[in-house]
Amino acid sequence: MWVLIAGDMVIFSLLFGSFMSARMKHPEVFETGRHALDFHRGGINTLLLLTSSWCVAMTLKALRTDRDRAALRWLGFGILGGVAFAVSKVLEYVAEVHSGHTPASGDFFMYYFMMTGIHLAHVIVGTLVLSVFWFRLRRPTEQRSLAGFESAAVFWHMVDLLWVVLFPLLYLVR
Amino acid sequence: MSILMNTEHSGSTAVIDELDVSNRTRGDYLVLRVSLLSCLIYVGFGLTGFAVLAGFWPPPSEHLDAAGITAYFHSQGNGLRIGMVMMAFGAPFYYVWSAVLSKIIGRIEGPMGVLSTVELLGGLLTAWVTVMPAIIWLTASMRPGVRSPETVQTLYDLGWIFFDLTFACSLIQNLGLGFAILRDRRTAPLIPHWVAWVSFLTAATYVPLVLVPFFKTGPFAWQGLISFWAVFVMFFVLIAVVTPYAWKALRRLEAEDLAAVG
Repeated sequence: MWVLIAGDMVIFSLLFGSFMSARMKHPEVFETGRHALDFHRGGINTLLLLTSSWCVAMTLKALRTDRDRAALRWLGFGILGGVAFAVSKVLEYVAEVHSGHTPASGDFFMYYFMMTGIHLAHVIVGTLVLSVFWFRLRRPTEQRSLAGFESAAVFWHMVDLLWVVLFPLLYLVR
Repeated sequence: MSILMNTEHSGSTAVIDELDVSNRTRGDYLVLRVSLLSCLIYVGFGLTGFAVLAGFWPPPSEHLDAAGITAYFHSQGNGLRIGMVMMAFGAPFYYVWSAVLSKIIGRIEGPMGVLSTVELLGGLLTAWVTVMPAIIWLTASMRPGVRSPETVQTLYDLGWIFFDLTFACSLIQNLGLGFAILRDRRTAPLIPHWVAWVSFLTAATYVPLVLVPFFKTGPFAWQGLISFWAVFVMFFVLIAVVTPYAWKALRRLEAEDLAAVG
């Protein structure tokens, strides 16, 4: 699992690197593009993912002390956070396309849509994986290992971490 | 102990003694090992042809105009043609290598396990995906001065679209390999579980190739940081990681099989 996490982060780093090098070539284009983004919505999305990540951490804490009902509740909130992020992100895309910004409107928006799009794909995969664990947790079994859920939690924290880099890179850096 | 076998011709039974069975087992594993090493032909011929002789490392850019790409094909001349012939020749050896992995997976899953078949067919299709672009680019390089630049450009584009947009063939193969490795419940798995995650990572790296038709520059164009460098590097990294472990797995399986005979 760590191999996948490390590799995924290397690939995102390549994307961050190419974004920065494209930005250095046309700083004014990127600055104009940045102003067209909804900084408040970006902030709300950041809070959603951070809260969700915290809920997943609480789930693991509850599981380790055999408090299954609490774990189920925390995990439910964690999944809701992921769903809320995805819905909010799609609404943001719709608003941006309506105001005329598409992946074809220059380098900034190409990077914006592609990097956040690939990230959104990670959010969707992560939410699905967490949902599978939620359903499994509802039917408790005698023997269980936490390794599987720990892997899913690590993946979810990575998705969170990548967003914490993406948000300032796209919305905040002047 | 003797093993009884029915022979169709006479209807009688022939006796094959232990020595013959263990010799046949050793023969099987010798062929498996040689077949596993056929990835060297795939990688050797493929990279020499594609990267060195054709100079596609990285390849001419997606944003080149017809005159630009035609000039590139003319400047490479016979080097590019020899390179493409080598690539087309070496490519099918990928399915031989995949057939060995398929056999190993067959020992991990049960008789109804389908992942070994997925691995084999994924190997066949990936071989095909490597052959066809070479054939298309070879065609583009022929009759210099007679082929119009637009035709050369069209064929060059077709080669790349064939190469990149067929990624699902290899992606499914990688997923099959990854899940098979994770299903291995031996205390010491035939192939370590972390290799499965390398396989999943490689599969994930292919997904952004869906963007190749939409970008002529930047990381998602076919010569770009993601669509070319990440994808091609991970493809070869997976072969380099899996092959030594497959070699070790064969050694263990051979020892198990020989012990079972005698």
